[in-house]
Amino acid sequence: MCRQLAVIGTHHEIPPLARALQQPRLSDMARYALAAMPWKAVDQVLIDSLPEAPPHIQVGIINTLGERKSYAALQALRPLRDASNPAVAEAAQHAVGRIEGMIIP
Amino acid sequence: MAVCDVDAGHRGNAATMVNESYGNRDCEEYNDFRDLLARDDIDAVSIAVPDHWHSIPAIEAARNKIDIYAEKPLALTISEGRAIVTAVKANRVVWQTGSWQRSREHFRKACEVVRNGRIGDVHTVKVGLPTGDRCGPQPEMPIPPGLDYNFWLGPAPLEPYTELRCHWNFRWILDYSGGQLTDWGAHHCDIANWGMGTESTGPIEIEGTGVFPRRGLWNAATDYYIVCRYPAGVSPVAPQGFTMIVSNAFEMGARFEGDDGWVHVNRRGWTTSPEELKQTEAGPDEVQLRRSDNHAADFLNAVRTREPTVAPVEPAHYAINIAHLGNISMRLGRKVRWDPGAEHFVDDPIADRLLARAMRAPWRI
Repeated sequence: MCRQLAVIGTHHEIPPLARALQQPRLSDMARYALAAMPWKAVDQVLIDSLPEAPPHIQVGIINTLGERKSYAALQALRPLRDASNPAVAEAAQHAVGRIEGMIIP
Repeated sequence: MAVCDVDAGHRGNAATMVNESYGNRDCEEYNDFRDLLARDDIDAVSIAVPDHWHSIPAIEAARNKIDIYAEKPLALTISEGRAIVTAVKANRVVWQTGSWQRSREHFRKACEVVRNGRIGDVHTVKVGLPTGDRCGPQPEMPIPPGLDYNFWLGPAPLEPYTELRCHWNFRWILDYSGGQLTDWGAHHCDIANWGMGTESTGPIEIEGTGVFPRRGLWNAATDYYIVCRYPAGVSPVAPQGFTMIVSNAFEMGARFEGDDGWVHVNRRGWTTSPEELKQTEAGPDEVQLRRSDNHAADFLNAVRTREPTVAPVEPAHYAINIAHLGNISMRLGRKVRWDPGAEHFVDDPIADRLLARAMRAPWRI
């Protein structure tokens, strides 16, 4: 389903996908669908999901924000470069670098 | 020397092969490519992994200034392919794509005949590839001992293990590859571009029709007919533009059709019309394509001398983009218009969604 939503998903699908982001078994595929949607509302959903997400899910969300080059996410991402979880900190470092143009894949 | 594989059996076999070749036991084994690439004594790597894994280790190797021989197709998506090209060029590492047909004399000669205008203006290129296979639904199976299946999946969506998902057969599953269209398209679309001089551009219109299995594990198109239109001015041998058709309806290989004849080339050899075109040689003032008699040796020579290889990274990107664009058109069920310079679709945000895919955490490029 999420593979299809990545192509045909609309604004209507964003709220249920946002809820699925927090569920460990569904998070990656929810993000699979959201990441393909071009709207800034998706960036906000991802940003809003960060505080409550466990570290493993945070890493995925951070990676997607970096790949989307979401300037709106910088305020939330910069502090995470000092996160106690090293995977989160490293992901945040990379994402900020991508968004600021200092890291180009 | 070192080898890395997430299948311990394959890994052990590879290490044994290396050790027997060198007559020692120095080859180290790794499950995680990041540990291997972090070494400071690695000069070059050969990357032969499923398509969904092509980008991450290639970019990591490039960032570590390690020269790379990597299998085709370049990447799973157009976006990942561009990321590989950027990383390779920015880090100035040597890159050889496993497009070894370029190191076969008859492929080069066939392309030189075309490039030197001996069949006149080319109007059509037909790329023939194999028909895909199907398989039915597959049961979940126990993960074989020694296979780090979670790592094998890597950035791809989590799915239960079954034997026909992994190793050779990943090719027929769209989460990991693009079917015969990408597996063989990487070879013969590359030759098509080599002959047409279109190694740094792409089509502007793509219309693909295909048959996708409705059920079963393998979901890549089994039959496909992709029509690509190239505009005037992008090929030195097609001043009016040309059409490239990629399909399993044609004989395998690349067939160039011009106003004054044709050339067809595949692994069995090449044929021309007129026949005497096969006896011609590119003259000193004509286009002479890079000569390589041995694809691996060409790479090792480039590592030593820093000369270009016969199959650099950017032509690999533009070659496989043809197949990716074909798959996108087929999956959307309509024609798409493409801007090869900007690398996005023209006024088509839906198609643009298929340029990249989110990776399963923690993976990223």
